[in-house]
Amino acid sequence: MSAIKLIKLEILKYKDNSLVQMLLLFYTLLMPTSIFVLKNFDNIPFIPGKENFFTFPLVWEYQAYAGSWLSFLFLGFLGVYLITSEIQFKTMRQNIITGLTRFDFFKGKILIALVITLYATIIFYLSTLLIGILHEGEINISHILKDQHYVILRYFLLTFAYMSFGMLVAFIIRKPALSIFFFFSYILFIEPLFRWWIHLKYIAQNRSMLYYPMNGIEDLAPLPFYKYVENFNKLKNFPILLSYTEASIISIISVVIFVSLSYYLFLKRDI
Amino acid sequence: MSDVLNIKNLSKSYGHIKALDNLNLTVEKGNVYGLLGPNGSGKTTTLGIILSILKADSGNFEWFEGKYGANPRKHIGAILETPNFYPFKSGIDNLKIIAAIKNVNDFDYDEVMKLVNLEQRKDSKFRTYSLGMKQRLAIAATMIGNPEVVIFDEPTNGLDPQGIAEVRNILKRVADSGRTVLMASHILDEVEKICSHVAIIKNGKLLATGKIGELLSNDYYIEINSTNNEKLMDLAKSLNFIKAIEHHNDYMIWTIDNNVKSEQLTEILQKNDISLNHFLVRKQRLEDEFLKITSK
Repeated sequence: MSAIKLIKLEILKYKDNSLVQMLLLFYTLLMPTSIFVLKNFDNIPFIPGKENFFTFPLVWEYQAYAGSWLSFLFLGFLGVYLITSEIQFKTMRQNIITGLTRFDFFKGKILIALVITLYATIIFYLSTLLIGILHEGEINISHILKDQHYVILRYFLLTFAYMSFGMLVAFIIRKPALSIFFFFSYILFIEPLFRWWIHLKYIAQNRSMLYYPMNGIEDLAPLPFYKYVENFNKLKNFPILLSYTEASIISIISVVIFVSLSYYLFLKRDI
Repeated sequence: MSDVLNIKNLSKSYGHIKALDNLNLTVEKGNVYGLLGPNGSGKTTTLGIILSILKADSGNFEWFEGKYGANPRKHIGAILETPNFYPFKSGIDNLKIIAAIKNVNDFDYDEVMKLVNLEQRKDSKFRTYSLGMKQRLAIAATMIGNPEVVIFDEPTNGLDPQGIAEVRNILKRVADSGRTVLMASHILDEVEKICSHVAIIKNGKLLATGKIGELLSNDYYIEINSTNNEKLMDLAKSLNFIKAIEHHNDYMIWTIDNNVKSEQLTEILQKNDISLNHFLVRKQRLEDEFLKITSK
């Protein structure tokens, strides 16, 4: 089946699903508004005037960081749901019985994740542009474009990485609640604990503890405060933030692994 | 006549349990084939494999003599086990998803919804349907794209008597439309009423297959009871066309050779002055044959 038909099929499946609507709505509403939480803080220690966070180029970094949480929470969840829903309702089975090939089913899921990622990236970019411009009160193209560090590509990669990781977890675990639980636990606890405890204690005391999939994805859009906290990067005897290039390479490798492993499992198993 | 489905030496195990053991089966075009077997006999596993959602350990199968290549499923309308649809979508939207997958652009949804008596509820969400309505929607889904073959798996499972009657009527109409039908069931009566052919499987093995009429011998049964059963038994023992006698609470069942008409028997009974309080002539039924075959 053609890519367009597969995307249309996925939209037909989920367009009136209230959970999907809710997840996308929350993302869309919170992306341009969550930054205003900062307005409630007094000046934050070590950090140059909080108003900087509303102006270019720092607004890109802050928005990408906030968006990385929204992507993880809402769109990663959506990635899990796009697969577990089909397993739970046995509609994946019925799709195949009806005549979809396994490859087309999988392709449809990847395509819809790419479409959602594209939508999320556009919302991120437009809302950030708007916040910056409204705050500065003028449109200065060269100023807007300065020091973006390919933020739009980093953001796209980050969102797709969370979605494809969500899908992989769903293909492995298959049960909806358990998949969601593992998805959040792995990112929030399992990998960080492994890196900071087992890796440092038993594997190596160097930067190799940074080369993990979720750490790479997180460092595509790190908390911009870090930059201003002199000592933060010296917590260990090596810098603990990845460069954008390093983070991008780790993320791309991770995405390739997530997608191909998902496909392998999907092909191999009974459904 | 061309073959619609050819199954050769299919085997599959789940751990130690052999679900299918060298199964062979051929379904010809236009046949209404009943796949009959007790629960757990391998019916659903067989259907799962020929619909490519389960992988066989060995053996192979071919649809339509290979004319549609590796994915013939767009030419098959099938439901497996329970009706599987998106619960948050309406009946008609669920059918539209099936149509999108089958690449069917032009389809009279209202007509098929009428066929399965769902036109009143076509816009209700699937999750609000009763089990009978879900089964009927599943039958409607198998009609989309006018497939050459339809497959039903225990279509009346879990329905109340009225639901069973409704679904059976619909199935009968589908079967009479000239399509090839493959129906798995453990309900003999259902297979007998709807199907022209039957394959009996147990423990993943094919025990018998053929036209329903050929599988049944022409002997028939009578249920009989008298006010004086001792006298009746003495008589029965002297009649050599009575092939078997089975005792039940309120009556006996005699198996009668097909060369002897029931009138002849009643004459003999009258001559011997035996007064009856129960006498019923029964054709041999698939159920009896089924029990005979599966108890081997």
